[in-house]
Order: sequence, then C-alpha cells, then structure tokens
Amino acid sequence: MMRCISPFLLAALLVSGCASNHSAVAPASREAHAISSLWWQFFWVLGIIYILVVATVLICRFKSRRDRANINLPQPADSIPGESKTHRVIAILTGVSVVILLGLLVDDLFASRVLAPKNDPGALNLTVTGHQWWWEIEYGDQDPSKVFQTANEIHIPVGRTISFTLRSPDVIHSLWVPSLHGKKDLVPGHPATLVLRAEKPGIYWGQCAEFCGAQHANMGLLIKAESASDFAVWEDAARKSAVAPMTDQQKHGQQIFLNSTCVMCHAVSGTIAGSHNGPELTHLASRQTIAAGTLPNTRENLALWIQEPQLVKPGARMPGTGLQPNDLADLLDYLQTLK
Amino acid sequence: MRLVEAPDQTRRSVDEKNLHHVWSRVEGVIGWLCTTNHKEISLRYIITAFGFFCAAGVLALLMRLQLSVPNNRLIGPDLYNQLFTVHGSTMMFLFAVPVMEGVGLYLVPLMIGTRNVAFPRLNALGYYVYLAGGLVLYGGLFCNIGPDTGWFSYVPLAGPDFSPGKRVDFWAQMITFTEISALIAGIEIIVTVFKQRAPGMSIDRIPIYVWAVLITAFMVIFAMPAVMLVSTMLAMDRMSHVATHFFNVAEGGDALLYQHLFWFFGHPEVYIIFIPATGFVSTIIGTFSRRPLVGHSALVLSLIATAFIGFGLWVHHMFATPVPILGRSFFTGASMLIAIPSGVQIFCWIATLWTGKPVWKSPLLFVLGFFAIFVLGGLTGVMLASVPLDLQVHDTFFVVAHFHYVLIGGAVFPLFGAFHYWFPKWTGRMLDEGIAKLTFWLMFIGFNLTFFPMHQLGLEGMPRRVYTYHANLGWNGLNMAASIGAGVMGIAVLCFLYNVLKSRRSGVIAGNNPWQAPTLEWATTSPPQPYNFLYQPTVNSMHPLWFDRPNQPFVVGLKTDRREVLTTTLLHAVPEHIHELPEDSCWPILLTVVISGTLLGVIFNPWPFVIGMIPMYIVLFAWFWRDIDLKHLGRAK
Amino acid sequence: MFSLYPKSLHRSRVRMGGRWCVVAVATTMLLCGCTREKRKFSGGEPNSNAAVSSVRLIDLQPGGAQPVSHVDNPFEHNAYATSEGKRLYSSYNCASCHAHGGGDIGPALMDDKWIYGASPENIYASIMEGRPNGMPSFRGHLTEDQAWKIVAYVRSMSAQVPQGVAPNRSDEMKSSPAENSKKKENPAPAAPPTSGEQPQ
Repeated sequence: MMRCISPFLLAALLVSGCASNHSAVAPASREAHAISSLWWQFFWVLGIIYILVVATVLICRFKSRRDRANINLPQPADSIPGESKTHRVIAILTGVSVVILLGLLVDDLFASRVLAPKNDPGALNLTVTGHQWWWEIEYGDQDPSKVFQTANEIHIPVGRTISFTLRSPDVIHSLWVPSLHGKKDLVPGHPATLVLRAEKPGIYWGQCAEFCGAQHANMGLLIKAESASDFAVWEDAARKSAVAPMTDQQKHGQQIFLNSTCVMCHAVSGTIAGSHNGPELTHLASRQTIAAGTLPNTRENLALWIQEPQLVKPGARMPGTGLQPNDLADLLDYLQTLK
Repeated sequence: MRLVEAPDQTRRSVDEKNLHHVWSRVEGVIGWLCTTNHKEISLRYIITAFGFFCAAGVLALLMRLQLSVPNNRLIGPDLYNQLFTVHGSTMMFLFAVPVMEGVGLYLVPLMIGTRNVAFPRLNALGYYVYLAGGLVLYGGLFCNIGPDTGWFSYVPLAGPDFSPGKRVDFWAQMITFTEISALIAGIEIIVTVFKQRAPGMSIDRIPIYVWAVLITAFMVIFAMPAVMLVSTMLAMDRMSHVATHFFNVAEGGDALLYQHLFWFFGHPEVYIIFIPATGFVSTIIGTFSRRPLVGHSALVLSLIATAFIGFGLWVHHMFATPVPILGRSFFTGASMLIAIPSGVQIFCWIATLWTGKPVWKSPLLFVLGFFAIFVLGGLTGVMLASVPLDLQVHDTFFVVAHFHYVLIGGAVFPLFGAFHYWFPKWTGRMLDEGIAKLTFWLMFIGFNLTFFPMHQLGLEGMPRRVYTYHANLGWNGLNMAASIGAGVMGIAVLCFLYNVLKSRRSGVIAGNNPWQAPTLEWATTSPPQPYNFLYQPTVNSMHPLWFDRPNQPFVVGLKTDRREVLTTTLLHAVPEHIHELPEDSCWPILLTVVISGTLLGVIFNPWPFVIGMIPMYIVLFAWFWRDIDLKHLGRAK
Repeated sequence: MFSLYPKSLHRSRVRMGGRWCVVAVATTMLLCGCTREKRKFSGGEPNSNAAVSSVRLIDLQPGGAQPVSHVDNPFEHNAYATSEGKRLYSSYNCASCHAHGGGDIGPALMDDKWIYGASPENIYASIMEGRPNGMPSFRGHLTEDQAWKIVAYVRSMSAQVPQGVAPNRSDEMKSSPAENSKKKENPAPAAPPTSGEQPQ
C-alpha cells in the first residue's frame, strides 16, 4: 500500500490511487505496470535528491557563521581559503549527477522496450477512430463478415495482446486509459499503433488527452477487460444485428427513430439506418455510459441527452429533437431494446 | 579623449548640466511618446508586462473558479477555451519574455558602463510593437475573437477547417508582433554588450547577469524565426485567396510539421525565460553572500551549454505523437543531459551561500523560494524526459504542475527577487521589507497549494484543457485545494502591488548602493540620470565596486553637446571609436502604427500586406534620413 | 528641405491622420467581430415557420405586386454557424448530387443560376420541402437550426455572405476555391430542367 500513497501530500489532500480505475499508479496491464515501476524508481531517486538539495539550502540559511567570522568578505575568489576544496566538491557532485542520470536513462530504456509494439500473430486488432467528440472502434477479423463496429466502450480479453490502430479524420485526439497504458495521439495523416495486454479484469476509464475543441472535456471512454470466455460471449452478441422491436410502443419508437433526425447520423444494423456521422447504436442499451462517457446510461439520462443535448454537451453536433413526451417515451422503449 | 583619475571638479557641474540637457527627452506628450532613453523604455516594458501578468492572473483565477467543483456551469466551454488560450499566450508571449527583456535593457547598459543601448530608436520600436501585439490579443478577447485553441494552437484544430472565424488569425498576428519585439531586443543586447562595454571590461570581466542576457539574446535570434514562420504558415493556410496547404494532409501537407516548427521555438523559449532568471539568482546570491560566485566560469559555461542543448530537446513535447521510437530516445538523452548544466549552477550557488556570509534580505528570500520550487520542477522535468513516463503524464495536470514549477519557481520568483533588489536603483526608494516577506510567504504557500496537488491529478487521469470534470473520478478535493491556492497567490500579487505603490511615495531613500553590491549600475545615482554615468567609467575587475582601486580612472573627452558613446573591442574592451547616437524620434511609434494597421488588415484580407508596404517604406525612409528628429526639428524652428 | 519645421510637421500630421484612420477602421472591424465570432451552442429557432410558409418562388404576380419580404438569416453573419453548415452539407451527403458546389445530377450551387430562388427563405424551402426533379424533402430529418445553417453555407458558395463569415478552405483535396475566396455572383432566375436534361 505504501507504493500507492504519495508522500509529501498533507493528510487532508491524500487520495489513495490504489482502488482507482483510472490512475497511472494503479496499473492493470503489462505496459502500465512497466511504466508504474519506472515511475516509482524515478520518484524515489529524484525525491531523495530533492530533499538533499532543499536540506542543504536550509542548512545554509540556518547554520551559524562562526567558522567564517575571521574571514573578511568581500574578497577576490582566489584569496578565499578552501576555494579549491569547494571546486572539488562541486566536480564530484556533478560526476555523481551524471552517473545517476545515466542510471535513470538505462532504466528508462528497459521500460521502453516493454512498450514497443510486438509482432504477435494472436493479437486482437482494433481500429480506433477519434471524432469530435466520440470514439469509433472497429473490431478487425480475418473474416470480413465478422468485422463489427461499436462506439465509446471497448471490451478486451485479459491476457491477450491488443493492437490498436489509431486514426483521426478531423483533428488531433489522444487515446488515454491511464490504468492500461500511456497515451498515443491520433494525428490526421499519421496512423499510430498502441499495443497493450491487460492483466486484471475490470472497467477502466479513459479520456481524450489532446485538446480537440469545445467538448474535449467530455470525450471519455471505457475499456472493459474481461476473461476470454466473457469476451467471446460479448463479441458474439456485438456481431449480431439489433433485435426487432416486439411491442407496439417499441415499434412506434423505431418508426420515430427512422423518420426523424436520428437516422441522419446513427446506424443500427438490421435496419435501414446506416449513417456513420455519429456513434452507431446497435447495442446502445448494453453500454455503461452515453455521450462518450458523459452520463451513466439510464432512461432519464437518455431522455435528457435526446431532448437537450446542448445542455449536457454544449457544442456537440447532436441536435435537440423537440419530441412530444409520448413519442419520446416510445423512442426510449425502442432504444432500450438495443442490447 | 583621455583617461584621468579624478575629473576636474570645476568642470563637473558644467558637464552635468550639458549632459542633462542633451540626454533628456523633449517635454510634453510628444516627448514622452518619442523618447529613446533605454531606462524609460525598459520601465514601460516592465510595467506593461506586469499589467499583462495581472490580466493573465485574473484569467487563471476564473479558470480555477470554474474547476473548483465538478460539473460546474459557471463558465461554458467556449469562454473557458478562450481563457486558457489567452492565459497561456499572455504569460509566454506578453509577460515572461518582455519582462526579462525589459529588465535586461535597463540593466545591461548600466552594468557595462555605457550611456544607452546601441540602437535607441529600434529599442522604442520594440516596445511599441510589443504593446500593439498585446492590445490586439486582448481586444480580441473582449470582442469574442479571443483565440481558443491553446497557446500553441495545434493544427488541424486551429486550421481553416476546424476553427472558423478570425480567432486564430488574431493569435497568429499577436505572435508576429511579439516576435518582432523580441528579435529587436535580442539585437540590441548583443550589439550593446559586444561593442559598448567600458574600457577594461574584457570578456572575462563581464558580470554574470550580462552573460545570461547575452546568451538569451542569441537564443532569441535562433528560436524566434521558427515561430514566426509557423504562425505565418498557419495564417496563410487560413487566409482568403491565399489558402495554402502547409498543414493540409490531403494536399500533401503535414499536421506534425506544425508541431516540429512550433516546438523548435517552444523549447528554447522556456530557456529564454529561465536563463535571465538564473542571471538574477547569480547576481543576488553573489551580492548577498558578500563574495564572488563560486565557479564563475563554470556558471557561464553552464549557461552556454544549456542554450546549445536547449535547441536539441523539442521532440520531448511530441513523445505521444507517432514519431519514430529511435528518434525519441535521442531526445530523452538530450532532455536528461540538460539537467547537468542546471545542476552545476545549483551546486555553485549553494556553494556560494555556504562559503559566504549571507545577509538574509528579501531578494535572497525569493531566491530560496526559487531553490525549493524550481528544483522540484526540474526533477519532474527529468521524469518527463523519459518516454514511458511522459506517455502517462503528457497533456495532463502533471505537466501543468511541472511547467508552473519551473516557470514560476524558475522565473517568477527570481523576478520578484530582482524587483526587490533593483527597485531602489529604478526608483531611488527601498521596498518595505516586512511587506516583502509577507508577499514571499503568501506566494510560496499559495503556489504550492495550487500546483502541488496537480501532480496527483495528472497521475489520476485528469487531462489538461478541460472546462469541467465528472464528480465520480475522485478529483474534487484536489481541485478545490488548487483553486484556494490560486486565490492566495492573487492576494500575494496584490500585496506586492501595494508595496510598490506605497514605497514609491514613502519608501526609505536608497542612495547609490544600498546593498553594497559590486557591479557598475550601483556606482551611479538612484535612479540614474538620463546619461547614466557622468564620465565614462573604466574597470579593472569583475566586481568593480568591491575590488577596483578607489582611483580607478575615468574616460573624459566625450562631447557633452551631443549624444556620444564610446565603443570598444569585443574581447579586450580597448576603446575603438566614438559613436554618435540619434536624438529622440517619433518614427518608432509611427512605424508601429503602420505595422499594426498592416498586420491587422492582413487578418481579413491579403491585400493590406502589399498596400501597407508603401507607408512602411515612407516611414523607414524618413527614419534613416539624418536629422529628421525632435531635437533638430525643434532647433530649426 | 527636410529641416523646414512647419512643412515637415504638416506632412507628419497628415500621415498621422492617415494612421488614425487605419486604426479606426481596424477597431470597427474588430468590434464587428462580436456577431461574427459568437458561438451559440444552445438550440433555438431563428425564424418561426409562419414567416417561411409565405415564401414566393417568383416575383411575378397578377394585379398589384405585394412586396416580397425576405427573411434575414442571422446565421449568415456568424462564421461558426456557416462552418457548421459546411459540415452538415458534407455529413448529410449533399455532395452526392451537388458536388462541392459545381453540381452533378443536381444543379450547381456556386453559380448565378437559381431555379427556385436564391434568397434564404427560398433555399430553406427547397431543403425542407424538396423540389421537383429529385431534390428530397428533409422536413423532420433536419432541425430548423440545421437547415438554416446549411442555407447560410449554400449562399456562401456564391459569396452571398460577408467574406469574413464565409468558411475557409477545408482540409480535403482542393476541388474549388474556398468559399471566402469566391467571386460574388449575381443570382438570376433559371429555367427548371426539361426531363432527361442535366441542369445547366
């Protein structure tokens, strides 16, 4: 537990990073562990250096000057006694600094090796495309009929290498899930690769980490790492088209979806809605959050997001719909079937 | 012209009167606007920069107010984006560099024993162009045209497709204004230091502060063109009818080119801010330890090494982008390497304090604050040099904490120390020691309360440039603490302002050398006369007021009916020739108006660039034509 | 010659007067930035349906001509809204028929020929109601705000909006000059296409 608690913080400010699902010092993957260990090594080495420097300065401040009482200052430097000893001390300290820095550099290079992309034929290939202000993810496969898309929530199997290909069609974004890896920028024109292997199941929070416009603050995502079997179940369900609506309200809700502004931007596989301007919604109801992590996925929040998106995410591209209350209720009924 | 040990006292009052008449500015508003006295221009730089510091501080307080609680609806995303962009742009372009320039332009001629900078009218132009640039930016902010894409304004977000309107164009032109001003100041410093030093001030006797400012000036000349280039390329991409494709990937441009060019300037920029501050620290430690600095040569060489290495670090701002892995390793090495000259400086300073007999007045207190804060920032910088660590904390509040520790600790604290140290020289009165100590403690506590929690926030996943955050992420307490600390810092600045205003009126009279300091600026009156020194001083050591003999000779024979300075050789400062400086002139401010009109017009249409050349050439023609200046025009009447 | 005090001062006064003009113009342009640069994120309809429902397609009328009142589209003074209109034009695939203004199976939008009227309310009606020969009706699929933004953008294609408001070049392959670099066209009525013929 000591490893997770940062010294120097006053007790009132103490925030334990251990239980967090979004902390660089609460790692849950091979790569994040390497970074976290490196962090603690740097922290202790540099922390001790800092304490020594500040202590020396404080000693200068408070030590008595009796030893200097009989020296008349100011005097030219070469006639001050002990000057060459002072120079020697500085030279030695400089040498020690060089050695310490070299040590830290070597440490850093070893950690970098863990982060380097590996050619793993068993890797799961995901393509993440950053948009203003949501995440589009495509799960690749050798068989094109098994390729599928989702948005804002990624599921990955624990213990398997995941290779993210990162693209952006608009501005620079940055994919960052602190408990799983460092960040990587999505730069238009420069596809990037991020490789990680989760080691602990859990739900990990991440946010876009490169300023990308008005709603950069609300471009979050979740990565759920689960066992291989759970992941297989999820993957199968994700590949399926949306279930057909059963009740009259749900059917009416689907009509509203297809006949109003929704169909212009959102795709639901199995229906005629096929636009990729916004996140695809085929399995909306099984996601934890909506609006790229801005709100928990509940019926009330969905209603708020649909009616007044500019209250939730001012500047987002989603227009308000102005639906009547019973139309909205039917639409919500339909959307909640999209598991 | 000859050397004398004791100038004739009977001539003294006549010489004083004549010099006063020749070097003073013309009376009235016109004279005030057209002055070329380096001290007046520098004080305007310092006061204007401090005004921008306070303005940017208010923006920061607004930001901290918005971030004090989660999901706050006080400030919306659009205004918040403008706030952090203008805060960063102001601090970097309108405060940090100009204030260092201003203090440098004031002190350098005095420290090297000359009467004015090498190009007095150019100096005035530098200030006016800087002021115009600042007004352009703030005018934009108040008219809703404040730039909103961050102080480094990455493309494609700041490009023509994703930033509609004129906001980014205002930012790009502000850059042009401030970089012209910085280049002018750089040229002034280099030429003045190389050619106008007092006889006897050979290169090994140059005061350490002058070295710091000189090295900074060289860095400015190599670094600023990169940012002028990149802001111009961005402006051209966005300009109607021009619409270049420098950063348009679809037409063969590159979004990363912007980052390379910007950070090639951006990293040296922080050393441009930091190195003059090391000059402050060296000077204050030297004076108050009552001994010459330990390892003077090592200090100078460390500054030069820092300047050189500083140009080889820029990709560490881009570690998260898809740049090649091997390339990143070189920049890791260089970024760690630069810690070594900084370390050498720290060791030399501490050794000076250790082996001296320190007098603990307020300037030295701010230097202690510098040690505590800057060293922590420098060490988090070593962490950021490592790619794996940087990939976690880049673009988070950890980095915000880091750069505020190095910039406020490394530049603002020494700057406040410098203000307390040189205020007596600039105004003739001492600042109140009690209020100074209060200012220090409020600033120290407020700063640490604001920025230390941000390290933790960054590690916990809080990215930067977010106008709000969710309540369930555990960031609430630390953000509240940071906001309270910001308020304390604001109070500290108010204390300082109160101290300045009170002391100007009723502070203790300072005399020539209240700190018993060694350098030449303390040899003349406080504040100095317009002509700086009655007779051209010579020096025989690096600490003239400590170690020169009492009858160190002066140079007499320079005319007192026109503005003359003595130029000397570069290495050994042997007198070379007498140079006549121009009289006060209205051309700098007129040229500024022309430049401002041209650059503002270019925001809306490319044609003003061509049309503006005409008045520009006319004004420059008049500038360079001899005798079109205030004194000659006045006399011809 | 240059040392004659009054003449030089007069010249510099004149030049200073010129400078102040530049400053005044620049300041005015700055202040006008307020409307142009404002970014309104909340919804809200700039015009009620009632005004738009009385759109005439042509001025020709029997008897005495009633004045045609043009609807002012506030988005045409706002750079952000016009650029949003450009984004919507691209997202909603207007280019499939109109290309990037040059026209394809749909008429060109950046020229001076307007079959159903070039004023904002005419274009709004074209989008919302649809037109013969293939223009779909988007009523119900676009909010009114979205439609008015697209109207502003479409008018910017022939430079009918102020230059400072029209969008800059896009970050795509260059197919035509940016809207703020286009030459202003004078809209004139054109005949609808006869069947089988491409619109001119």
